[in-house]
Amino acid sequence: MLDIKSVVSNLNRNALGGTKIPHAVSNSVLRQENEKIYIAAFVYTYNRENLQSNKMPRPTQWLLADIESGEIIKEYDCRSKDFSDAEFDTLYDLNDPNVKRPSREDFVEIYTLFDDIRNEITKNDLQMVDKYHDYLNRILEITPSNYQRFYKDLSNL
Amino acid sequence: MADEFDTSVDTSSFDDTGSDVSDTSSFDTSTDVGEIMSDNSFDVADTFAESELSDMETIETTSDIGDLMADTDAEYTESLDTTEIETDIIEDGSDNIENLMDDAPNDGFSEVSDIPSDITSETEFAAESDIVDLMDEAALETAEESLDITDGEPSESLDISELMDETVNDSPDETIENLEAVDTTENIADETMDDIESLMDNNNSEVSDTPEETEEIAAEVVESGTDLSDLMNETDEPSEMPSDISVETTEEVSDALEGNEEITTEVTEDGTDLSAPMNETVGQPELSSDIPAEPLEQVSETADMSEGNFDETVEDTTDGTIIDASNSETDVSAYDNLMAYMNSHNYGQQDVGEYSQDPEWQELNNAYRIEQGMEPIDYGGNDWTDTHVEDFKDELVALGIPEESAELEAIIENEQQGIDDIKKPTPVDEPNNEDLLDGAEEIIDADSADISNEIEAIAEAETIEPVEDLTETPRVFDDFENSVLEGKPDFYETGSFYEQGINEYGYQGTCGPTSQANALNKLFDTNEFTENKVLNVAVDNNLCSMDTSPENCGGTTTEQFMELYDKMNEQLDGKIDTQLFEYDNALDVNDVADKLDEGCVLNVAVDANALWDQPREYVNSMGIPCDDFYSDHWITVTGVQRDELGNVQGFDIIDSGGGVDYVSADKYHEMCFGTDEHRVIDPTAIVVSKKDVSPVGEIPTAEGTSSDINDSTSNNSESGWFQRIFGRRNN
Repeated sequence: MLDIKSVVSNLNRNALGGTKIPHAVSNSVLRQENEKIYIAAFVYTYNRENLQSNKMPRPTQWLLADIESGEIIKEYDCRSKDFSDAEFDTLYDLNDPNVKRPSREDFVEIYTLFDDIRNEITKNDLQMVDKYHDYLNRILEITPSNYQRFYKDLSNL
Repeated sequence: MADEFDTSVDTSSFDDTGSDVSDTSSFDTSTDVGEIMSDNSFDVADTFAESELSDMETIETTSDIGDLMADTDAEYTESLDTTEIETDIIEDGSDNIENLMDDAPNDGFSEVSDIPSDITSETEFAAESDIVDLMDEAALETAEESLDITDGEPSESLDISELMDETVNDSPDETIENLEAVDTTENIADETMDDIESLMDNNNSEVSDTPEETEEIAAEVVESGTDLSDLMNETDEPSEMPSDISVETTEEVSDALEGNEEITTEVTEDGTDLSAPMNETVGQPELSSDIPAEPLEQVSETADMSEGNFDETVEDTTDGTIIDASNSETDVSAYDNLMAYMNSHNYGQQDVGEYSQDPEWQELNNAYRIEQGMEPIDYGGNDWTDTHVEDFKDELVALGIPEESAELEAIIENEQQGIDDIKKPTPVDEPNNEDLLDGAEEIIDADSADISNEIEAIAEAETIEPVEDLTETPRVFDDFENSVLEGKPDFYETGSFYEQGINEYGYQGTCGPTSQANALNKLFDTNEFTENKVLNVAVDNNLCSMDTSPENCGGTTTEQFMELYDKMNEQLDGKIDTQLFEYDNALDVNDVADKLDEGCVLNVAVDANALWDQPREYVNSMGIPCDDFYSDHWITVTGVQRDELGNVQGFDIIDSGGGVDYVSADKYHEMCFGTDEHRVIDPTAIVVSKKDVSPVGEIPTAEGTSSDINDSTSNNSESGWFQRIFGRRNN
């Protein structure tokens, strides 16, 4: 199984088809599609004004990758197949005084947790769902509140 | 996005780039000498209008006529010893003088147009010389207008009295109620008296050439009930500014004006018309090298005035039959034919060596010359340039310039230079006005600072690379561009077109195509390469992201970007070279600076966060780790800034997404390579350079390839923009 850090790098390389458009790929979550569980991430683009105002548009693309190999299975344009019902013309304020700023060590833990979950799921251990919720909460607590909905929408387990 | 550009884009730098073109032009740097000369003449006109005409608007008609005659007259009556010129000589040489003077306004005669070749070439040389080629259409029109006045007057019996009547009549009708503008009246007085004075000077049957005799005649005129003496005294003081004029003077002027009808009737009994004084007074200074620059400027200003106000004069005289429009139409026809020929062959000033050999042009030019009262040129026999200098010297001697004088030698020497320039093959890419300007320096012996500044400006323009002349072609906008202009009239002039997201598809992720367009625009000093045009090529060749959200559409990978350059280069007949440097081979700061110094332009892939002052931390504002990352934005690097030691300080860039126009060297490194903690995984730089431009005629035809890109721009087929800017030299 490819570790999640490498999977993330792969997602970053292939998001938006590798085109050079200012964007970011979200932290990974799990999503079930057609009774199969995938690694999932969304992509949002931005411009200079978004950065300066710290207000971001909603995601415009989302990806599904194989839970074990991390190979990208599918890229979806949100206008074609959306994972959320959020409006496209809304900017989301990322200013959140309560958001936690994670450290490198935090992410070592988070990634380790996620890899454990992936490993168990591949062994058909569905008891890992509770553990996954712990992981998701770790992600949400470092995500500005206005943008948390997109993790919740994408992660449907 | 638009707000970003409105607030953050330094359009001056964009304009800079554009001006290297036109410019727009863009275009400025490609301005040729003719344009500069025209511009300068306009500048002079503007200055003149501001300084002397600011208060004259209400009596434009009268002042215009007065300006045409009086200003030059007043100036040169003082500076020239007209008594040395024999009346019969003037008669003999009147045609030549007229020719000379006809061409004076023709050239616009700004400071720059004081080029000696202008001065010396008027009788035979005007239409043949480079200077004539340097004349722009506006200047030619000026000549016509001036000639219309002079030619039209006799045929319509437009004598000075009518003009004076006009002066008198128009003033009350139009401006008497506004005559608190005292200086205006003063101008009328000056000009009126100058008119009279010049008429007296030139009426050789009744009026002596000597000032004393002129005054006597003026005194006779005074006897008719007009207080002219004061006015004449005033006209002897051309430097007197309007502010010095008192109300009392105004009253005197009014009195004088009331008497003008008698005066002018008397003066014009011999049939003297306006053309003679105009021609002579303008012509005299050209024959003397002693004339300081200022009077020449006055000539220029007068010429410009004739251009700018003639129409108004015609309008204002419609109550009478003073100026016959039909005569003007006759003049226009030969000119129009000549201009039509030039336009139809797409000839410019630099093409004199070519079109002057065309019998069709020779015929049209002679028709024009005849129309202008000049002798036609015998193109069929011996080369007219063989005998021109000697002929011209004889003419000058006949006009009173001492045969062995230094001034004659200077004029002849300069004339010979002009002839040599014409005889010398003149490559399109080598403007030949430098010699002419050198001659101007010799002849014009005053105000050298101003003149040298202009010479420097022109010389600077000479250094423009040939390909930049392409921007002389007026910018033609396609349908999409016109639609953009509806909302943003100055879009293509202000540098706004560097902004991405202005395309017919609504794509927003177009930093790739836009940066490529910007690089090509910079490379070729034009603004023809727009995002929309390059994006069309990308779309047609599936070289950008499509069929996704508009935010993501138009994006390009490095591979697509390079392929897109290849497609563009096909349309450019291979006029560019592109080199990709990426990963370990990516160009660092000094490498990039060296490439820029070589005249290259670069596209580089950067970290948008670093570019837009959002330094990478371990996580971004969304809590997403940013260890190492891929570049996510294309920009164009157009210049390097160095300190006095040559160290790279920063780079001029065009950022289509955020409007950043400069980054320091450190920032450049960070956005291209990242930091120790946050590396850019795929540093990428693409060097774009012009291939050596083949000499004219050796460039492979653009047919067949240029059509693709024209077709690809769908709605702009009529513009043929690639053909126009790159195919023209292939014809």
